[in-house]
Amino acid sequence: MTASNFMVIPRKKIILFICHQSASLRPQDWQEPMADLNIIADVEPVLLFTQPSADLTPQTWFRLAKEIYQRLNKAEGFIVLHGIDNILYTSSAVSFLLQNLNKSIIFAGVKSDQPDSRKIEIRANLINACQTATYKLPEVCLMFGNRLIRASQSVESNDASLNAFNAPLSGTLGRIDFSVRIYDKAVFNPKGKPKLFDSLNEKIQTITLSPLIDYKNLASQIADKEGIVVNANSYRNLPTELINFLSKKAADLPVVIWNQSFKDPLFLPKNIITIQNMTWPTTVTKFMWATGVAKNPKAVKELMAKNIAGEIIS
Amino acid sequence: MRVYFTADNQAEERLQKTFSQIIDTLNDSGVLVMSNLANRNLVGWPTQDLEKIEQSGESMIEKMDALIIEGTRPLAESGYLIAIALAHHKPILYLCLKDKIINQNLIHLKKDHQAAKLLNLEYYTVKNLNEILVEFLRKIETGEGKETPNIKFTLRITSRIERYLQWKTHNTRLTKADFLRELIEGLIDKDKDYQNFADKE
Repeated sequence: MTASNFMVIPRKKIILFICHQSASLRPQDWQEPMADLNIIADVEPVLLFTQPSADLTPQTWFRLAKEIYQRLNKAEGFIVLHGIDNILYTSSAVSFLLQNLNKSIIFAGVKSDQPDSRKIEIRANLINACQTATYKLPEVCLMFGNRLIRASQSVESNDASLNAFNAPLSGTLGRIDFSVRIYDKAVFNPKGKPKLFDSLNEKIQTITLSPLIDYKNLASQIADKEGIVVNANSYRNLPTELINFLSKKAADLPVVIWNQSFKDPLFLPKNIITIQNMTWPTTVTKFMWATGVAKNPKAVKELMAKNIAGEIIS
Repeated sequence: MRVYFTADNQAEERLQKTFSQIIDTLNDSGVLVMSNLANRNLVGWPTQDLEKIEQSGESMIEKMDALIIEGTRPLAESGYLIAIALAHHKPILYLCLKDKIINQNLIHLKKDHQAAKLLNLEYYTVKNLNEILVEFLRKIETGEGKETPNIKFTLRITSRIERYLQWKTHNTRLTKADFLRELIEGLIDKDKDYQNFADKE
């Protein structure tokens, strides 16, 4: 074959943000697949964070969203290489910080603990993410194994499968067989221009319900807080003491009670928001966003009920 | 052996005939072909197996022994398929009609030592197409990118055979399955009738 037999096809530009580094995910683990990724697109790596993802905080969520926003017109899509720890928080937070997306933000990483299989898994997940990122899907998604799912509807999977996360049907955006197949009907199509929000309220108190809660201590903990999120998922009825506490001490604060299995109607104080149709990380990050932008508990309640980025499970 | 074959399903009739020729040649050589072409996608896969693959998180290309691309007309997904096949160490045959142009991005890949072993770029004519395909199959079986034993096969044996296998492999590095595989490889190498059949194909 001679050089004249070859043609150059212009490739799409994809930006790969590196947001995790650890002994089990070293720089060479993403550097080695770069040759493969560059068959699909012109991939530019950007090193953002060099700590393990378990150490990422709300400040890093905002930095990531800002870095993507600044490059929205410079690439067709974005991949975020992230550790399993905190990935649901980071990706959900990005869904609320960066709204009305017109391009894909695909979070990928590696689940396996075995060194040999990790190498292939990270390579395959990045290749699948790269191909998906070229489709300009207006979503923040996770790509692990053979599933493409909406980040804000995802939960961690406990089985041995390479599908590290699961999502209900409403959050399943595609699958991999011999190619990436997108379920167009499931895709959330936002209206308006992409928008970056510059604040998430970090003065939020999260409480996981258990019989050990010390309500006196809790009162001092919430003294300077601007919102409370209660994880009551393992309860069928709320403890009376909690209801009394929230009625008295938290009367002026927006309060969310997250429970996916409440069946009976709950008689709660007016300002309390019950959330059943979102995941826990999404509830927390959406509440941080909502209390950051809304001026009063009523407005927070309205925002929490609104489908902002396809996070509400139908 | 399972091979995934992909080509432009909107191509002109002349090329469509070539695609059929490729599939027929592969089928005649005993290869199970899956393809993006009509009605070929998941031929030969029981629904139960497909569900298992879906649940395991694996992609279908992992279950293939090789990938063949007819790239005379550019395919949007060929880059993706080549990348994912290389990631899973699958041999690739990229075919292009003589005097047509191949995407230059692929030639860069040939500079990569590992990729060069697996990626075969070939120009063909209708006359030498079968020869190229058969040579590729032979390469998968014997040369670079030698196929790994990934086809599950349930074989019921008697206690006498089991006892023999146990005795034969005891204190050796071979497992019973290795021993049987080597035995069959030896039979294939010595079987003149099969060699003639394979050469003819």
